[in-house]
Amino acid sequence: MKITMTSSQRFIHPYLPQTETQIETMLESIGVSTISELFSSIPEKLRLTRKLNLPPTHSEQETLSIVKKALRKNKTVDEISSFLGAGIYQHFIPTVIQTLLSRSEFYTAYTPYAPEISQGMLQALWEYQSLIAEITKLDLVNSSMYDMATALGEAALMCTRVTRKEIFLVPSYLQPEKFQTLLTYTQGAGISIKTYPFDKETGKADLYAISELTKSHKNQISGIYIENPNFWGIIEEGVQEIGKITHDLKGIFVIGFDPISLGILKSPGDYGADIAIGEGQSIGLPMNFGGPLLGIFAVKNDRKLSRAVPGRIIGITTEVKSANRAFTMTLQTREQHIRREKATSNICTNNALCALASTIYLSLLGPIGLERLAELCMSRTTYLLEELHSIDGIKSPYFSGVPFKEFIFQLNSKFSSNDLEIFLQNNNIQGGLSLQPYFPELKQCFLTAVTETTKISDIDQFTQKIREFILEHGG
Amino acid sequence: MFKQTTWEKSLIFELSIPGRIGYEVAELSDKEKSLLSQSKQRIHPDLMRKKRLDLPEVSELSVVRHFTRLSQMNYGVDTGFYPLGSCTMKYNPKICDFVTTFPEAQNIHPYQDPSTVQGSLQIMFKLAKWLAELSGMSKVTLQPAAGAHGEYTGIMIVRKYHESQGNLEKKTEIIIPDSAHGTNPATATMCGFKTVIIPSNEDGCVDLEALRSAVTDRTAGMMLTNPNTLGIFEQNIEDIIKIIHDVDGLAYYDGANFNAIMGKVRPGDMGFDIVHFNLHKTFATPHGGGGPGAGPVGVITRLEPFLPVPTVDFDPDTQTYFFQYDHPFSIGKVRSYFGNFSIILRAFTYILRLGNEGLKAVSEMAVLNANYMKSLCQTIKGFSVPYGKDSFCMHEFVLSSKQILRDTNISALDISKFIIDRGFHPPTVYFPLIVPEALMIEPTETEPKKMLDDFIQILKDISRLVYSDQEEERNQILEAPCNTSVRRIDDVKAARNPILSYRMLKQQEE
Ligand SMILES: Cc1ncc(COP(=O)(O)O)c(C=O)c1O
Repeated sequence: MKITMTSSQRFIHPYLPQTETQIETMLESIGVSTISELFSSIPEKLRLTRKLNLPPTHSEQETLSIVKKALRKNKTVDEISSFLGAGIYQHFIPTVIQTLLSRSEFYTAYTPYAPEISQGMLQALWEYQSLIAEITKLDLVNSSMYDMATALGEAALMCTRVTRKEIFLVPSYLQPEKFQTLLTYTQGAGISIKTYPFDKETGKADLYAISELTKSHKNQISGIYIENPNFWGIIEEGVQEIGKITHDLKGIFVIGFDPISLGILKSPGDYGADIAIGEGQSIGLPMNFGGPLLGIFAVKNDRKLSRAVPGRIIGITTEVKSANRAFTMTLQTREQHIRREKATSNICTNNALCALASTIYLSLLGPIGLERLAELCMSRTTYLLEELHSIDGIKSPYFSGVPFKEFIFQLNSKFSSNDLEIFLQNNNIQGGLSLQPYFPELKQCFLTAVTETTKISDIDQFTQKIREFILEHGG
Repeated sequence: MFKQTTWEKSLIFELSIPGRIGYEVAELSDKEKSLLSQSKQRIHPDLMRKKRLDLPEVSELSVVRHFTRLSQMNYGVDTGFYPLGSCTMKYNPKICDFVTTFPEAQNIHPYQDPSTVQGSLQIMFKLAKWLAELSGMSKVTLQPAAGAHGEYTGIMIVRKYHESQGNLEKKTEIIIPDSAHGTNPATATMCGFKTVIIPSNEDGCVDLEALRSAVTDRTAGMMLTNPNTLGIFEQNIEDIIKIIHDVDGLAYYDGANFNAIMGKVRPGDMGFDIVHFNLHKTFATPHGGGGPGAGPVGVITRLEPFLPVPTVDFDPDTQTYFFQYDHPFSIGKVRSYFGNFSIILRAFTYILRLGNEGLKAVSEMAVLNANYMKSLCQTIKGFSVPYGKDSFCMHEFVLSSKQILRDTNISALDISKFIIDRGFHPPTVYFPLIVPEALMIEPTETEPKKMLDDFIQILKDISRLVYSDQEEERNQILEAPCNTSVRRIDDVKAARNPILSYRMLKQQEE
């Protein structure tokens, strides 16, 4: 759509409100006759003269049909029976969340720099901090990071910032994405990442190896990281001891947690965590092909630690002239807009709306809901594990440690795990993540997740298909 | 007249009544109970929770009402004018939000087989191509989660590049102008570089002499926005970049101000090597009250091997999209998975909707609106534009109220509070740091002239009030805001006695 005018050819579009007459008036007020004069400060030889190779303008109707056509090529987890987890999980999202997140007063706002006009988001984020503080039993929570992988990177940086030591100890059995992100994040600060192994029998942290490692690097360890449940889905029973080892070294004890597991497991703060990080996707966010997610970052309230925390923090205070409650961003002297090159992190835009989703989620579920959800996940996981256990040709569980909502099973070497994957896919099942490409020692092993959205009938169907596969392939 | 809705600030915890639920999780069947206890028995009791969590117990309606009320005490672009400079708070088209609610967008696991996510991959592939074309870069990664995260990715690429040349020991410094955003120097530090700050010249641009004397063999690169944070186009950009390239430094383009240049000029043609975009600014994806955003990064051909893995490619033989892990000098990963897909999808939809011609019109109208406001604002008594007074600005400009401070002791912060009282979001204040009493105004292309005029009128009113000889009138400014859900907030108290969670609040009350 184009109309020709005396001074210019105006492009008419619903997002561009100025009319031709208004443009004329505005140009006159500026003292120029064309819009292109306003761009005269761009050196002539740099100005684009050709048309860029971009799509043409589309109407709303056309745009919608193009997007739909593309997205239709995707197969959603609603159409597949999916047992994929390994960091991102399919949990049910109560309808209330989407409804409240679509309040545009929330989602079309910027970071609450002008607090008086942004109390709603500030209070919601303070409540987010409060809910996370409650489930982790750590008082100081920032108002979000991008995801758990970057939260781990920031935690490692924080450990070195506080202790001035340079070795950060992590499990060798981290989610590969997270491990790679950690390696990137720690390069600039010259931090050395050392790994400790798991016990080959139980799948839990090898405590002996940890204590040997700490002996050989006695005064260099900034912190020790452990996940509970760990990447194999197993509950780490040595956490308390590892916390003690860390504190004896004057290191910082960092826990990675699954928020849902805290419905039945003790909180990181209960067993000595100085920092706890988590992935908030499982509490109220769609999987979204892996983003946006929610990096949870909680810290023990201690002066030395609180000054080293990355990210935005909301505090509760009052109006200047009354005792009325008010919320505001606080402890900002740690942040990039004030401290610049000395800031604790460069993070500016975070994942506030995702934090809001989790706030609503935890408010809806309450203490009983979260407990029951954790119990459901754990019991159905046990069910799948037991069902697979009864199949000849499958080792389930692969490790003897107790799993929470995922575990590893192994296919006997008589069969090809590739064939199994194809067989399952043909039967519309994504049976889990094949671990061998990332951990070569875990031959023919699959990491399989079960949540409350996994129906008993899905589990039965899954195990039935595995039985069929084994029969067909000469079991 | 503006009057923000005001509700009592009850905390969600204070609405709690034992026994209420807001969402019911199914009860365990007997069989499930026995499976559970079978597993639980095998865990040391020390690891199990003994006492239920102290979470609020509220009904579904309570939750809905609580957060609806909170939303009413918040202000977004849909509520009104948001000329927050540097943040590009333009209208966020509803179609872009709508498409993200499709199950085919939301209910996709990142580890699904690539054959089942061809739609998402196609969208990512195309958006990356379009961004490359818009910026004059050769390849784009969509992985970074925000602008600062894009900066981080870009400067890690600078690091890796020098490492690959065997020069990392020597290349230790990043040059940044004093007008830069705080994320720039903070990023340089995170990537292990020393920041070298160079002063701006009297026009607010890079001082070539200062740059020449700051550049040495240690210079690893430079971070710059163009137009810069004053909204001024750096005319000497080619010279600047040549100075950096002459010592084998890389030029990084902070794309926060991309809204000024679409279809007009490209960072690649200016000579930049690395560019980030803020999809939550230029490409109209909503800011979410603080995020999530997305900060894709583009690089020139020579730097492609350093990009984070994976990128998305297309195989013409099989007509399929796939993840490309072949970046031999990759910096690794900067986050989990592939990027903020729902933000990427919004930007994809936005570009389709505007198209080539539309994006150019966006920049033209953004620049027109800014210049219109600048031409009128700088004539108001007490306000001035310290840099670029007599030239055209790009998509934003920085007004200073230093004269008002000098004459009346009323600060830019006071002024911003009064603007709120009239129902507008205030401009960015006290940034960039080189402008005293800065009010950074970015109207964006989506605001109608009437809105701009109304805002200008407020500044005129402010000027009249601050210079009034009646104390009452001056007090209207000093006591603002009074039409918001709270009045001025005690930040000092918040920092001196930090209460950062309900647990801390209870501890204090006890
Ligand atoms: C000039 C400039 N650079 C960088 C950033 C950082 O972007 P983000 O907030 O997305 O991390 C911003 C936005 O605040 C900015 O205005």
